[in-house]
Amino acid sequence: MDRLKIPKSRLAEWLGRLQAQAAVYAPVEQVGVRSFRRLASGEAPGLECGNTDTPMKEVLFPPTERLVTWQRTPDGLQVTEVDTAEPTVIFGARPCDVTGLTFLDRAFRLGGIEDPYWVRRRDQTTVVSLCCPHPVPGCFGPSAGVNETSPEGADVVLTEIDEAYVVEVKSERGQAAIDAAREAFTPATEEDLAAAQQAGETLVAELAEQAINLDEPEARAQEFLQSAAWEQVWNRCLSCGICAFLCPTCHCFDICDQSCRGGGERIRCYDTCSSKIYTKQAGGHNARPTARERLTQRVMHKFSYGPQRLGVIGCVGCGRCRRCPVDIDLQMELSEVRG
Amino acid sequence: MAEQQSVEAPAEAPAPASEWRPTLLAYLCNWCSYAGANLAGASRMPYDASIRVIRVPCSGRVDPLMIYKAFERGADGVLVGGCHLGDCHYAEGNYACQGRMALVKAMLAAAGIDEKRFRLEWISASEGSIFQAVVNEMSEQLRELGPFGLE
Amino acid sequence: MSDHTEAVRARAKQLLESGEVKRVIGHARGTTPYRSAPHFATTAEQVDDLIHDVTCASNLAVYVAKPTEPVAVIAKGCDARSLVTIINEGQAVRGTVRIIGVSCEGKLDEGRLLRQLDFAPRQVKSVREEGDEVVVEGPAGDVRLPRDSVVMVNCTYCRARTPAVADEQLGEPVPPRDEADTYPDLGGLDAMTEAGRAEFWHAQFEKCIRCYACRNACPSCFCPECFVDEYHPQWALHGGGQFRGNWMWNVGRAQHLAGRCSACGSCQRGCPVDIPLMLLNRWMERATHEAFDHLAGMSEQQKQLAALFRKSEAKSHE
Repeated sequence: MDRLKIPKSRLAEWLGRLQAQAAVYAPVEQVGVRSFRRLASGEAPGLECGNTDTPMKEVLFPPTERLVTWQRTPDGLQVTEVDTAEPTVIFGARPCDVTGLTFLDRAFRLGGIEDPYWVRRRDQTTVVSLCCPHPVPGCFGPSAGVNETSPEGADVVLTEIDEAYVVEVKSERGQAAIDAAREAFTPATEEDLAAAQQAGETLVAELAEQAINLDEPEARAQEFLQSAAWEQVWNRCLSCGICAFLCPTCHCFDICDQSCRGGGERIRCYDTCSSKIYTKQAGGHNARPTARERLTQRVMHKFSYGPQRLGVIGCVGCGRCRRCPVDIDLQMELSEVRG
Repeated sequence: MAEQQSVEAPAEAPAPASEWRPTLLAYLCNWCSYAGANLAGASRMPYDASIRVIRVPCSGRVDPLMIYKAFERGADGVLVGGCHLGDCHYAEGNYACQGRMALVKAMLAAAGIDEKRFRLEWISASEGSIFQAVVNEMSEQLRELGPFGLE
Repeated sequence: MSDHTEAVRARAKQLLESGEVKRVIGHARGTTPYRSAPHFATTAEQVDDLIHDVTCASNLAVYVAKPTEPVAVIAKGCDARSLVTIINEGQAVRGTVRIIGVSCEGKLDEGRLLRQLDFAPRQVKSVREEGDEVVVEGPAGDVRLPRDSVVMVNCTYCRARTPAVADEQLGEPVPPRDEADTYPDLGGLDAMTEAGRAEFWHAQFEKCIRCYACRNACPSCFCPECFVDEYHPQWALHGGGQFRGNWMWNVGRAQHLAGRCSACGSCQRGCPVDIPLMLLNRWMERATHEAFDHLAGMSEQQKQLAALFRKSEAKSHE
């Protein structure tokens, strides 16, 4: 499809039109933390360079989600299924987060078994991706297979040039998003396209300076897990949930009931294979009693089982896991295991 | 560090000023405060129906988490009742309670929760009138403060 | 000045070679010049990777969990306080833990450091302490920053810059900060109205994603089953994004730390959404100190706070 252009000054207008037909989520800063939140009417998204602190996956796979509620009534137990999925636009998602959707889509539909809570949201969602003008510290998207100028999973891709965005429409859903404010868009000129091209090349060149090597991830995983460096890594792991909860491809969840006599709800919430109690069973046995077993699982899931079963690695190079309080950087370890 | 607060004792439970009735959750020790409450009831001393009683073996059994959980679940006020110092059925339980509740009060202050919403009182088995007075005074104060809500 | 790298390596080597300890827990250079990573040395080769400088922020006592063989810990004052606390509470036998005290004038807060640089983090070549400054070697040479502007906030009110309890001491003793007992860090909270404080914590706890990095980084949080993981009773709603549950979690943890917190700041440092947890912990420290004259880990003879609530101890707080 031909590229279009929209001036930054008309972004608010486009967003307003989108909000008339969908719930629009975009990066918003609240109390010092940037996350994807639902935009209020007239609210401007935070599109400045940089990624959100928490991943975009939160919009489609929230930290806590109600599945079912029940209420005791004189006529018996009333059970209500919860479905809060609605037409959604995710605006301003970076290529790394967008690429994570591929891993999640495949995981949540693996073997033809669909996770209804994911699918209901995902299938009503249009993703408008925003390319990064410059790399954020710690980002290594291309090393993880991310297409930084036209990410897979995006319906629309915006590339910043001067006072406007060059727009690539990648799907019918993307076209529908454009059509919501068609008059705000004009065809991109040759100069526009050249500027967008230049922006992409600059980004990729700068990213090359932060690149690591994740070729042959399965072999690297095996080598790392037998290396001297591995001993230090698993020994210092605190078994918290930062790496899993901030990761655009992690998707483990727990299901639990929150209730008292009158009624209650069944919720699902984030879980992490790094947790000490992740594999704790009734009777007390724990199949992964130390961080050694738990981190092994993490490495293998992301770089061995994941690629085998889903066809992509479980990493998009966003660098958020580098918030690890004890400086564990699994990707860098895998990169360096071959010197 | 004495926790006994002086109370003016109204003779009757005040009539509710509005539709809303506060929820006052009370953890009462079995041997003193609960018996004191029982005495108030048996003597037909009117006390505000805002109170919901949970009987515990000893005030020392009250875990700070139980106080916070009460607020989190919608209590507007929490009362802990125990034996007078030196009279604890288990000798030292109320001392433990007193120490812990001092920390709870500090925490509630940090969290911005009005100090009138939480009280520690020593009420003996014979002090039904004290129980009545405490409940009625606290209920009145909670009415003035309004509902507590965490959200 | 807190670069004790050479002294730490020498001592670690001695201890391992003599067989006095089987393992030395310290730090090594991390993935960047401004980071360090906890490091475990059992061989001479691994000792060579040990460092101790202004980047060694995390509390190492978290790795002492009922060791069956003697270990040595390169312990800043806060690490040492934590060790004393957990030994006092039965998490280790005193004789199995050799506390190698190191004096400390503060450790780096990565965010505070990076925000003051006008070049990319990966252009940092080295970081060192010189006098009261932290010197960052960047692409255009050295950048000098006042130490207080780049260290963790809790370091600016540290009462244990020389470990109060240690088997040996590396580095010259450093006196405590006056702010330890004047609590200027609580000035903001003190000045707020009650409603203001409630609002403040509402905004902060709403961010909580329940990753439990605060808990897992804290040496004082060692319960085999944490209250937040219980189902019967379910003290706190599970999962992030539920404010009531987040409130229960953070308030409950702060309650359990009262009188047991060493003010190391590892919780706040680890928090990925920048909740100022130390404000709550310090508030409780002040309350505990004033009411019971009790500070965690400052003396091997100290009683656990709960033991001070006994009739026999009542005089001290009546």
